[in-house]
Amino acid sequence: MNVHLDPSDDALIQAVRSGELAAFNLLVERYQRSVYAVALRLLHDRYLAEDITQETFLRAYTSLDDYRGGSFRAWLLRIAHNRALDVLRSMQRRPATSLDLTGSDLGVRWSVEPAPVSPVEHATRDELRRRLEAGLAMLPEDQRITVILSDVEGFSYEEIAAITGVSLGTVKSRLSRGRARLRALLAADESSRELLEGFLRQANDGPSERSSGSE
Amino acid sequence: MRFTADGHPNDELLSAYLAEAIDDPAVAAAVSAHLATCTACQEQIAELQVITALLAELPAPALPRSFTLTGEELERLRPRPWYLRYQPLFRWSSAIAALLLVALLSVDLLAGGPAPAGTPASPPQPAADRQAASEAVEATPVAALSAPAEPTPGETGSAQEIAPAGTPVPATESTPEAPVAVMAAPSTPQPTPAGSVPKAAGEDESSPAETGISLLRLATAAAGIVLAVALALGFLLPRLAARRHRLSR
Repeated sequence: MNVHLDPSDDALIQAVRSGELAAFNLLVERYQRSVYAVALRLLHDRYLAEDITQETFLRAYTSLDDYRGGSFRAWLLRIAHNRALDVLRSMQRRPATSLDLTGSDLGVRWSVEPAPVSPVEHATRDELRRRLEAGLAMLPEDQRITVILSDVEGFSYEEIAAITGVSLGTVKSRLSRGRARLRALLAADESSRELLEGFLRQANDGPSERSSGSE
Repeated sequence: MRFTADGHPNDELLSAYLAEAIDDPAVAAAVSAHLATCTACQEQIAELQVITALLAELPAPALPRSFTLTGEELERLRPRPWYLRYQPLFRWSSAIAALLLVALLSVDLLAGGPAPAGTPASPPQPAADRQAASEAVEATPVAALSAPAEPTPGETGSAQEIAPAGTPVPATESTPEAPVAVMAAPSTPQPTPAGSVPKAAGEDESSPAETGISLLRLATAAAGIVLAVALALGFLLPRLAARRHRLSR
C-alpha cells in the first residue's frame, strides 16, 4: 500500500520478470493482509493461515509465468483459496482435528482501529461486528468464501468468479444466500436482534447529534 | 428464492434484490412493489444493508509476520518459464529417446537383411532340414521347440529317432539336397539351398514378420520424433529465448 509512486501490479510483475526480483516483495506487501485474512477466516487457525499465506506467495513467485494478465490479486487469492480448500478437505478426512466453528473462539488477535463515533455507538458496532464474525464462521463454505471476498475484502463479482471457479450467477446467488443467512442468524438470537435494531435506529436518527445526548 | 406464504419476499430474495441479482424482471418488479408498502420488509432490507456495511468494516487480522521473501529465497526460487522448469524432463527424455532410437535402428539393421524372416524363422530351418534328411515323415509343429537342441550330424539313424517326435509339415521331398542343408542351417540364418523346405517355412512366418518390421519402423520414427522435440525444448528453446532476452534488454 505505502509503496512510493504506487506502481501498478502489472508494472511490478514486469519488473520481476525482467530480473528485478525484489519487486515481488512490493506485491507481497500489497496483498499479504488480504491473503492472510481470507485464509484465517476460512480455516480459523492462525498457524494454518500463516502457512497458506506463505505457500501462496512462494507459489505465486515461482509460477509467475502462469499469470497471464487480469486481476493479479484474484490470481493470488485463487492460489490461496485452492490451498485452503485442500487443507479443509484433509481436515475433514481426519475428524480428530476438525474445526471448532463457534466463531467466538477464533484465537485471533484482531487489530484495533480508531473509533470515529461515540463510545456507545462504537460499542454496539463492535459487538455487532463480533457477532457477524461468528456468524460468518457458521456459513457453509461456499457462501462464506463468497461473502468474505465480496463484502469483507471488496472483490468484484468477476474476481470472485475467477477465484472460486464458478459462474457470475453462482457468485451472486451464493452472496445473496450468505447475506440472508447472516441476517437470519442475527435475527434468530434475541440480543443480536436488539443490537441490530438499535444500531439501525441510531443510524436513522443521525449518528453525531444523538450520540452526544445519550445517557 | 421465493415469496413466503404470507406474501413477503424471503431473506434470500430480498438479499438478491439488494445485490440486483434477481434474474427474472417480473420477480424483481414484484419485490419492488411489495417493498413500497411493507415496512417489515423495508426494515429487513435495511438490516441487510447494515450487515453488508459492517462486513466491510470487519478489522483485518493482525499479520503474524511479514511474508516478504528474503533475497536468498528470491534468488533460489527465481521464477522460470515453463520450458526451463521442465528442463530435467526434456533432458532425460531426449537421452532415453536417443538410446531407444539407437537400439531400434540396430535391430532394424540386423533384421532388415536379405532374409525377410531372419530371426524368428531360423530355429525351424534346421529342424526342417534335418527331417528332410531323414526320409520325409509326417509332421507335427512341435518340432521347432525340440529341434535346435540336437546337433544332428546327418546320420539317418539318430535323425530318424528324433523325427517322429515332432516335425513341421512341409518337409516331404528333396532328399538329395538334405546333407548340404544340415551343414549350413545351424550356423547361419541365411536361406539354405534346401529348395522348397525353407521357402515353405518362410511363407508361414512372412505376414507376422512384416507387421513386426512395420511396428519396428513406427517405433523408430516415434523415438526419432520424441528425440527431436525433446532436444528442441531442452536445448534449443532456452538458448533462443536467452538470446532474445539479451537482445531486448
